[in-house]
Amino acid sequence: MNAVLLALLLLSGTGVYWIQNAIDARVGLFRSTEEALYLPSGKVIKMLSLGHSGLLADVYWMRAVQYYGGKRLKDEKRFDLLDPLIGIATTLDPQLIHAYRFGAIFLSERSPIGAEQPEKAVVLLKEGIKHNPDEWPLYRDLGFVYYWYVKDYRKGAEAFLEGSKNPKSAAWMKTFAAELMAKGGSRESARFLWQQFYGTADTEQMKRNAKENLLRLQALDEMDILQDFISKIEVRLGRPVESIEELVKLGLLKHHPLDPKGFTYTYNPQTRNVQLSPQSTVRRF
Amino acid sequence: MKVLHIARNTFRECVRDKVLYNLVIFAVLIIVSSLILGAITIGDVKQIIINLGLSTISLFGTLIAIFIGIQLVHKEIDKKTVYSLLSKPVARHEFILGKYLGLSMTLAVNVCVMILGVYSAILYLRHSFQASDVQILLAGVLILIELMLVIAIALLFSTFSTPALSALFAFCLYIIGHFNTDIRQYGLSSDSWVTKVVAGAMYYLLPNFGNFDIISRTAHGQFITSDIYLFAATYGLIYSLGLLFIAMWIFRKRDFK
Amino acid sequence: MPQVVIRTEGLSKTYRTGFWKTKPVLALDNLNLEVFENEIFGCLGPNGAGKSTTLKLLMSLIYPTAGRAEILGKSVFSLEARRHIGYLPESPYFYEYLTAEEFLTYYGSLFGYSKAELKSRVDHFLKLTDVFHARKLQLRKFSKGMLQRVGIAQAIIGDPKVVFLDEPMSGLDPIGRREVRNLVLQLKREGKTIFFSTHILNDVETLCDRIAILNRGMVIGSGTLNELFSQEVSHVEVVISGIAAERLRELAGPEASVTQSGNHSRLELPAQALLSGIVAEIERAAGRIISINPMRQTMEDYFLKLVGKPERRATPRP
Repeated sequence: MNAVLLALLLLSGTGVYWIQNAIDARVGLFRSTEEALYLPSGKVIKMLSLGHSGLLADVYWMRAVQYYGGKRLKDEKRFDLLDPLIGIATTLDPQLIHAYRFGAIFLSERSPIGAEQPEKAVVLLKEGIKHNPDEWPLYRDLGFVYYWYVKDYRKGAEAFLEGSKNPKSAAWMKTFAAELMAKGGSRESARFLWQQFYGTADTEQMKRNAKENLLRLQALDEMDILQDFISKIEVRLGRPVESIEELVKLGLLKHHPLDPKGFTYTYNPQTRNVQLSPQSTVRRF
Repeated sequence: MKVLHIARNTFRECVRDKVLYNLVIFAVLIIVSSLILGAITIGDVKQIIINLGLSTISLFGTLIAIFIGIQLVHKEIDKKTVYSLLSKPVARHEFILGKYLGLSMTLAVNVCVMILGVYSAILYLRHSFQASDVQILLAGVLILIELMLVIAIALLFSTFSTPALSALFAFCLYIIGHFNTDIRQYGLSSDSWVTKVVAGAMYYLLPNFGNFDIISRTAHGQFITSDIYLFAATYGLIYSLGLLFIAMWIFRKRDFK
Repeated sequence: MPQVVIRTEGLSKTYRTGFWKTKPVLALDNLNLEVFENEIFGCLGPNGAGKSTTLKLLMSLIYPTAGRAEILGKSVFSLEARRHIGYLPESPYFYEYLTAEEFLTYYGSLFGYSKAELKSRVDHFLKLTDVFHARKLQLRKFSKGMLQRVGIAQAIIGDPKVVFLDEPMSGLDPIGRREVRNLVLQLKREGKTIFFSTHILNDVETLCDRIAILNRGMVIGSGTLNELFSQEVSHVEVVISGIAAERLRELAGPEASVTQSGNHSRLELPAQALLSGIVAEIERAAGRIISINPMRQTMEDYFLKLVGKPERRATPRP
């Protein structure tokens, strides 16, 4: 009899495994997060959570992060549920600062890195500021979103200025605001901001994202230098340059310059532009 | 046949349990109060009734399943009624099966009563039904199967553990089971090989209550294809059976000192 | 040759106790028992001797560490064996939310009777054990004596050939004990075999055909009462007045024992032989003999000697 039970147990175990896979194939692995689409709103969830809103907030926050990570893993381009998920998390717990920060970046970033919805990021951050007026990094993030993604330098400067009024805020916010008003976007300010971001990143993803942007800026710098160098060579040679290999063959360059990710820079003779190699994984925006 | 006799007696045992009555009455009260709730919130009241109603059935059903389930076997051992029962020509595994069916029948009756409550509330509100309302009944069936899974968990712990610990384990499994999909996602997106394996194992070994998540969709009147019901129901039944087999095995090996 | 209905061979049970379940406790060691058809067999022993363990092993409620047991020629683990037995556990507790009628019907249904037959059986046994008047009452309202009778009813509802009773008289008042005794004798008249365990010697003396005595997990004596201890006279008790205790001690010699109570002295002599000499001495000393009583070894004496405790006397030694 015991043998029969064991056999039946193994049978049911296999059955469970098989059915679970069948369910996953039909409904998809993200159904728990996709349920978010069918939920009335963050406010109703908060009501139903019976005092456990903090815990639920963490759950939705975690789901948002996993959702984002999962989408990236599958190489998908749309992140429709990111805003609702973060929205629910922050409604359940308005003090969930890292949710605001995460949302700010990954809602704003262009596809396939993020949802490409900077307006939603702005709304999110403003909500965050409303509930956490003393949290000056939110102003910094808001300024950053306006500056880098929305490209509204005035609003960005206003945000930096507002945030700098907090005596605990970083010293550079005030001067940065002024600089932004005066010069608009410059690569130096961009690099500065991304370095700030890298240093204060909450999650691995945010840190990696900041690094990617910094590498891009570095690549831009290197391409500028290369561009400049090529122009000077063209003057010296008295003819257009065809490719970078040419310069190496001529001994003008010791070796083929590599971008920060280790790919070769290329030169397009038609447009007379130094470019990233098509295989390069450096961000292009 | 003997299994049915044991089941019928277990049904009688549950029905005469005061705890059951209190929980059921409380649940019905909540369903009725959903009408009042509807008056003070903006938004679709019918949706709230269905949401609240089905969630209440699920939650209270779980409470009943756990609180009575953990006693099913333990009480008989503790009070030594197993001694006289097992000296009769009945096999130990028949005992386990009978107890399980008895509590399942009890919960089936409870779920029916409460679903009627939900339908009554809708009728009171709208004075008519829509075609999609039949899904409420289907949702009720799926909830019942989910509850039968909870019973199996509680019963299993009841065969070897004290009520306090059984309740604790059952609740923990219930909660973890609702986040099982999240654990899986975490494992899939993790870089560590160990995390992947552990998360995957947990996903398949632990009960995946996420499979039964249809309450929100039902409330929205969304059409749910029949194969989702069927697959989820089959999952619940097979998993419950597996747990019962383990319970039978443990119960068979036991010395009743 | 009477049929053997219960047989154990080398039946042993070792429990593992302690936090890590490593400390072994020997509850029953190498039990070899035979119980014949239609006899009342008593299993006797002090608390913790292994009586309950034996019964539970026979009911397959616990599993042996060694040896085997059979009832009516079938292994105790088989369903077939349990079809013909009835069991009344020690201090039974039954489902308190059921009425007596519901309870018996439930247990009876496990034997596979038809609905009509079940009903008549239930009524019959309710009447037999004199609880018919309370059949619609929930068991939680039953007195201890009534519960015991319901317990016997559930034990015999399947019309078993062998009935097992674990301490059936425990906690009962004299009326209750009498009722149970009569039921047991009735069962014997119906041809059943009864196996019961107890630590009350009087029950054994009055009911059992054969007994086994257990102590610390082992059988230390078994057989009929007659086989086990002789009914010979062990000592004589003489009650005397008019002679002081010290004088009596001198007269009787070192082997006798003397106690004083009020005006009388009580003399216990180890053997019959010395009696006539003592009587003469007492009369010469102007004492008056009130009574002479030959005492037989009681079962209690035999039991206590076997179990190893100091023999208790009716009156304390001086």
